[in-house]
Amino acid sequence: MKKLLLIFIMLVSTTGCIKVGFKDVDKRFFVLGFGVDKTEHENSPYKVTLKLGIPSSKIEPGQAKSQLITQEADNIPDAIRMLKSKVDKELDFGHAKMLIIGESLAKEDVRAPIDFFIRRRDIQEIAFVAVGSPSAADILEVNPKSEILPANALFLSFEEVATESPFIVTEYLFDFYRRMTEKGLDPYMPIIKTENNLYNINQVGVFDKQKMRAILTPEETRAFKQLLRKFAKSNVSARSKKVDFSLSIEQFKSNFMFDAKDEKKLQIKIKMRGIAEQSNAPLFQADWSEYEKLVGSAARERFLAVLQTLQKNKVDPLGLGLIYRAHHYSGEKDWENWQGIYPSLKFDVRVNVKMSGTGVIK
Amino acid sequence: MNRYFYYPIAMCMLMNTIIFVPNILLARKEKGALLGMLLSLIIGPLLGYIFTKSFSRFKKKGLPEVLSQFVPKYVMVPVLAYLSCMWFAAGSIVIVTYTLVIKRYIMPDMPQELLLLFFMAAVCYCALKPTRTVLYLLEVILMISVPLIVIILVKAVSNEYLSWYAIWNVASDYVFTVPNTDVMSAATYIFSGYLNLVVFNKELGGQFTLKQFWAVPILGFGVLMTSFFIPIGFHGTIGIDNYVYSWISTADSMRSEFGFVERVMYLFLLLYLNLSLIFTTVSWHVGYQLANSLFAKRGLIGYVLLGLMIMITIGLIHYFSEKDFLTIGTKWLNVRLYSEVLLVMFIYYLSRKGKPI
Repeated sequence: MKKLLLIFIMLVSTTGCIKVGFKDVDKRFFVLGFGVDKTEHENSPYKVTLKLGIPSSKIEPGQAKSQLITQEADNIPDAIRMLKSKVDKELDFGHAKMLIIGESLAKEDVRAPIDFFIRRRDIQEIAFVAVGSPSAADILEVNPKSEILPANALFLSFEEVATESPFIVTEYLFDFYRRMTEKGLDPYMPIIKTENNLYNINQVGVFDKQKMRAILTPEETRAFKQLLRKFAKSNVSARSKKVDFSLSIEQFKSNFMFDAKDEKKLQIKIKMRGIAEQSNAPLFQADWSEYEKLVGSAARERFLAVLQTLQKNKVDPLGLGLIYRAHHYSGEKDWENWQGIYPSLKFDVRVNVKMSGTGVIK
Repeated sequence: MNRYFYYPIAMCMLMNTIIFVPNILLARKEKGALLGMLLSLIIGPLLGYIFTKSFSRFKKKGLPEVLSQFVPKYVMVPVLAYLSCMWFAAGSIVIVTYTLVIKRYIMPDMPQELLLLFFMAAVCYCALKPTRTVLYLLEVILMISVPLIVIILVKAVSNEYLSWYAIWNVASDYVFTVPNTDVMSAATYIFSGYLNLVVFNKELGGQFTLKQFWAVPILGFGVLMTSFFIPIGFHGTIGIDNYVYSWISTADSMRSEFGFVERVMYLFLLLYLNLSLIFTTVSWHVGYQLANSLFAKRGLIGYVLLGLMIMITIGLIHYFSEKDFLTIGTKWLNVRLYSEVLLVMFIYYLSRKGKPI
């Protein structure tokens, strides 16, 4: 009897919970993309765009249905509350994996939207962040034909389980926030553009702790990704009077060391290994070391260019300052020293290339 | 029965993330957290060894029986009452913190008092069972939890976003800073699972050896290092200070591409649901057994005590905020360190010089 009573009490109280605590899936709108733009208006500076997935019975490429809703407001939480009155279901941010910040807002100040994203309990810390160019709303409007689920194309681009492009530099929300706070490590975000109903992600924007300082060119982006992630699946082309040659990289190792004698000199040792992908002359019998040298110097130029661009813009997304802090043991003083060193830091890039084959043909 | 002596120790080690140990240590990472952790690797196991060695002389006896044999009643009653309060408080702090976490991350719309009530109903049901049942339950839950913990640790350490430079920066720059009491009490906490012997000894009956005790400091070292350094590696040397629940945010920063659920956080929350409930069960069971021994008429008193605890805990969650609980947790850990040292010395004295009265 006692047990029955207990069970009864528990059952009664759970019905109460269902009413207040849970909302069924069919009463929810899943937000898949979250865009924040800057507007011209002074009293409503933020424009929030949400991409809502509409569940459908068919899962087919190109059949993904979605709906865009937008709202301008004084701040982002206000905009969300106002958006709630435009839809019939509860907004659920648990699947909002794509957070896009408009280019004009990124160039001004990203602290408010990032603080909102990271503070919300339901937005994942492993959501992807990116800059939308020309605006976040323009990116969310696009529905590529290959999409099976709404916004799926963007997720797949950044997830690194589908396409693995040397130009797409994934950035997670938690990592961006860490970079915003860390001394000696600055944030970056990939830049998404649209082109004929497709996305084009081949550039990266580098930030100081507050706003975007510069946008790297695609060529610089590729070198940046290699240095940042030790990303191997890339290629290096070399041209001289005699040869026109391209090496596909299969192994990439890099090592950053501060010179023991000269504090203002950073040694970067890079080891690459790969096979030939294209050449205008037969390779097999030729002297490979010549080609290796050519590729090495081409790669060296590339890395040096991106390092100098970052230095010129006074940003440090590669975390050289953090490496300096880790290699020196006087706490806060290291950081002060580093700020003096970085503007005049010399880079000593040494690239060691090894060609392991010529591909299928000689 | 040997393993049943080590289970409560393992349980306390695993519970450190909920009972604010990483929060306290991370907030003081420039103020001696590192040296504190290293010192605690000596102090914690040493206290544990002395206590266990002394206590195992009292075969098949819990603390109430030992005290009634050696000391007069006016000493025994306050000591047992105080210890019982400490154990109840430990359970309450854990269950309240975990309720706040669940409310934040899983059920934001549910009243926290109701959620807490459900948890405590389950806990009280188990805590009122015989000691042997509680020990079996503890074994089952640890067996389920350990593989999950290993998965999370492997995912964390093999993650390419874990910054070893940040970890090394914190580890190397502030090693020789002298720690304060807060740090010491947080760091030694993970070893204090052996104290549950005050009740469990009745079941274990001295049927255990300390042959494997060398593993305790080694495991403790691993636990302290991972729960201190992995959050730093994920959130940076400065960013980590901004997180309220550093470990839950750390688990949320991991992605399991091919798992059932992409967010590792849910795995983590599920794991700590198990562990928090069993921790509260064990500590309330110990607290209840200690208090119960003070009364001649047992049974009914137990229900009254646990009912009182439920009411106090609901009152706590109702009137205090997250910030207050961190303060309460820190204070509790401090008081625990002093009490632990005194208790160990007291038991050591009784086992050497104590004369039965």
